[in-house]
Order: sequence, then structure tokens, then C-alpha cells
Amino acid sequence: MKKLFSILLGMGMLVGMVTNAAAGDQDAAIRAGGSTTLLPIMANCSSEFMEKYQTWDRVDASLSKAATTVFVTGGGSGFGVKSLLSGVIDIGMVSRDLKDKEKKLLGEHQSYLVGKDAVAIAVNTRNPLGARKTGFTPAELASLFSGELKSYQEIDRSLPAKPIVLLSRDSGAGSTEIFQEKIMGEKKFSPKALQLPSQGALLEKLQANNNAVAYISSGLALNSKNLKTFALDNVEPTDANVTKGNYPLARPLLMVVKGAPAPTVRHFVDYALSSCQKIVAGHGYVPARSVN
Amino acid sequence: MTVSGAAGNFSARVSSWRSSLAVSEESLQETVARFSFLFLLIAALGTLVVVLLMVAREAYPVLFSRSGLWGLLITESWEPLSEPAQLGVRHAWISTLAVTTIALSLAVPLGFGIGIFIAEIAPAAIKEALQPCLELLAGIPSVVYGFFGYVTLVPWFETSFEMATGESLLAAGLILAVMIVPFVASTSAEALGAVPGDVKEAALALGVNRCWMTTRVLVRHAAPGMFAAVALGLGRALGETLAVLMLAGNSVALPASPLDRGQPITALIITELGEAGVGSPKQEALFAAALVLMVVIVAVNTLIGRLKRRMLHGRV
Repeated sequence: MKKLFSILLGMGMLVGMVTNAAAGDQDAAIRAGGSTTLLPIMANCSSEFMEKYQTWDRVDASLSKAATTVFVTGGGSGFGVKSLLSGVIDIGMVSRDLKDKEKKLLGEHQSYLVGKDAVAIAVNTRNPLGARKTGFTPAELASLFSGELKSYQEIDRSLPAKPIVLLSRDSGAGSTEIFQEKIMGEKKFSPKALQLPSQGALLEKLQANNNAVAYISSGLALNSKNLKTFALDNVEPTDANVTKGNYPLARPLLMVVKGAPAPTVRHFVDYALSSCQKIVAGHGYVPARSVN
Repeated sequence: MTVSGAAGNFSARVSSWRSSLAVSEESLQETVARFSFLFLLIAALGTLVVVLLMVAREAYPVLFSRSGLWGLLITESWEPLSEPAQLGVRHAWISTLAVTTIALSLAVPLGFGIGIFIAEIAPAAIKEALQPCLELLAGIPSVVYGFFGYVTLVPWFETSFEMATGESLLAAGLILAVMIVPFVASTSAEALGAVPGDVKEAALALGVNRCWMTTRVLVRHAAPGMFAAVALGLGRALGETLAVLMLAGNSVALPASPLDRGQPITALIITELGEAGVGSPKQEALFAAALVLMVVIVAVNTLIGRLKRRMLHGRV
């Protein structure tokens, strides 16, 4: 239902752009887009915001009487920055640190930390690997995800000779980038890995397949009863470890605004950083308030 | 009173004006119709040309870059994250080819069989029930077929073939075959149904049996239409995106067997385009892949059109 809702919002965004441009009413609607990790959070946050304050003048008396409208769409972190640069959206949702090149292109910009997400290594509970292993080292993970280890027997002799099915996100996803940077280094992802288009699809596939290993948002992995997560260098991907910065595979969830934020955008960002923090926690991510 | 009188007066005037202009009005209508249809034709053809040109323009830099068309199609693999990025699409066109071949080799015989059954063998009641069913099947959105395959075929492959994961070119090809059978069947049934009755009667009068008449006379007569059925199915198979995205596995490795995972061109484009920077080599490579797909579709359609025309002329 939430997915459907966010898709509708995404479509609404396109329609909204057209109608808003036609009406010349640029202030009334806020458009946010980017990371599919942030998408469910922002979609819930925005609908809560729209329900609470029907019109902008209820947020702040100095604003217009137009209805509060926040369009949220997915597309990935890269898409978020790209759309921010082209001016299609007001808030870019980015689930990784901004790259230097992107910062340069953006010029004057604000980035707000909504929360933190750890990328966990996980298998489903029926996978025998879960019973044999409790954690990996980065080097082990690199040889696993580069396809050097092909069957479970190559990880541990007592495991069956079943092939390892690697699940990944596409090359533009924030979690892939952080995994490449912090784990893979020079190595390449195995070309045999299945690329799934969203974290939701990844979770579904991982829960259904007993031979699969994936890197997935720790929030999703820890909330699922069917998944087992692994420690990395003996650090479990728990909220506490992510908050303290002990778990190395963590990434920030950012809202990025180009230039100085408009009053409407600023109000919505404030709302996301206060009232919506419980939504962040509800999705299994680490809210920014406890991060700071 | 005055109002209705004025109205009657007006309508009388209009009708006399109409009858005096009747002849020129008809020719005017004809001219308007002719020009508006011409305009629509130009618009439709223009769209095709504009799309082709736009795709070609975006793809152009890749075709004449360091590795060129040869690198794009044959020598390079798809590794957008490596330095320098390798942006070859050989795995994609091989996957597309494999999936399409599997789908057509299953759907064409089956579709022709259903077509012959509907046109020749089925009693009127079954025929009337079957044709709307086929049209309904043809109208089901591809994502529904994809999802259906995802929850039935994929687990079935995993259990019965002991595959580590069920997504494969074969799974995608099978679902694609199910998707295009209705097109092939209903189009070929139509073509067979359009064969004039006297042709059939002439054959039967010569003493041949029904089987001979169907295969040697009917099918030959309807061949151009049946070719069109294949072209329709082929077009759908080549362009299908969602079902193959869900079922082919979306892996960039070069597939070596139908049970391997692959990533057809359409799936490659939808997976990567959202994250490709505007004007980046990655985007250009994706447009080049799209161009390959378009060129293949246009070429195949032209070829089938030619064959069809030759057959039509050959008979007359």
C-alpha cells in the first residue's frame, strides 16, 4: 500500500510539475526525489505533514493559503542529485555522503542528516551459512561478492556444495557505492550477481531464496524475522553500533537543498528533522537525533 | 410566437443554404478529410523518424569513440564502475536474442495451431468463446505476466531443476511465449478466416482431405497475414521490458545457456538509465543499445513486409 502510494506520489509529481508551471504557482508544492531507501520515510513524512497542515498559512501565517503539497519520488541517490542540479526537485534525497564532484556542481547547498542507515550482510534463516558463520572480515566479503568464492563449500568445508547466489542493487544505488568503496576496493562485483531495482525487491528475493547472500539496509534486515545478519570485523550492525560509528558500513541519509532553502522547504525540512524522526526509527534506521 | 417563427425561418434558410452548397460541401469535406489523414500519417511517420534521430544523436558519440560499434557489441563487457568504465552491451543483445528465440520458437507453432483450430476446426460456439479470450489475454499488462512468472515459474525452476535461483533466460522466454501466443493466434486466425470460401471449396472439390486443404491451400493463401502475426509477436518479444526484467535475473554476465541469468537490452536500459548522468558515456552506451534494438525491429519489420509483398504478388 505504501509502495503504491509512493508510486502515485511520483506520478503526481510529474502531473504537478506541469500544472504548477502552468499556474505559475511555484511556491505551493515541494518536490523531493532520490534514494529509494529514503523514499518510504519521506513518503510517510510528507503525507503526515500534508494531513497535519492542510494549507501553508497554517504552517506559518506569513505563507500563502495554497494547499501544502509535497511530492516524493524515488529514482536513486544519483538521480536525486542530478534532478536537484537540473532544478526538477527542491529536495534531493541522498543515502550516502555527497561526492566532492557533486558538492562542487551544487555550489552553495545545505545538507540535512535525517538519519543513518547501515548496510548489513544478510542471508535468510534457512541458509546453512547462518548457522556456521557469525561474521566476516572485509577481505572475506570482497572475495565473496567478487565471485571468487563460488559455492558454500568454499566458505566452509562443512557447508553443502550449493552455488552462492549474490544479490545486489544496480550500480547507481547508494548501498552499492558504499559497499564498493569500503569493502570491494579495487575488486569488481561478480557479473553473475542478480541486480534488483529496489531495497524492497531485494528484501523479498533474499527472504525467498535459501542460497542468496545480500548486502541490504540493516533496518530492513533487523526488522525481518526471516533474515540473519553478520558482524563485520566482529561489530554487529545494531543501531547502537551505527550510532557510535563503530560499524563501518554505515551511510548517512541526507536531504539536500541547493542554494538557500525557500521558507516552505525549510518548514518541511524542520518537520522531517523533528516529528518525522519516529518514522525514521520506525523503518529500522537510526534517527539523526540519537546520531548527533 | 415570434420566437418560434424566427426559429423556423432560420432553419428554413439554413436548409436552403445547405442544399445550394451540397456539391461543394462534399468536395470540401473530402479535401478536409484527405488533408487531415495526410497530416496524421505524416505525424505518425514523423514521430518514428524523430525518435530514431534522437536516439541516434544520443548514441552517436559511442559509435565513434575509442572502441566504437565493435567494442559496444562484441568485445567489451558491461562494467560501469570500473576505471575506465567498460560499456559493452554484448551480454544484453545476446540475452535479448536468446529470450526472443525461446519465446518465438514456442509461441509461433502454438499460435498457428490455435489459429488453425479457431479458423477451421472449432465449432462456432467455441470459436465465439475463444476469440474474446485471446483478446483478453493479449490485453493483460506485462507486469502481471511478469509477476505471475515470478511467483510460479521461478520457485518451480528452483525445486525441479535444483537451480540456486530460478531467474533465467528460459523462465523469461517461457513467460514471453505465453504473452505473445494470443497475438500470433488471433492474427493468424483472422488471416485464415479471410481466405475466400471458393478457394476452400475448389480444393475440396478436387477431392483432397481437410488436412491437406488446410496445410497446402489455406495456410499458403493466408501466409502474408501469418507473417504479420509473427512480426507482431517478434516486436512484442523484442520490446518487452517488465516481465524480462523480473524473470531474466538482471545479471551482466555473458549467458552461456538458457538456464543462465541474463539481462535483455530493455532490462539493461531500465536498470541503468535512471542513474546515468546526462551526457555521460554510460547514457550514450544505453542509447546505443536502444538504437541497436530499434534498428533490429525496423529491419525485421521491413524484411517481413518485403516477404509478405512478394508472396502477395507471386500469387496474383
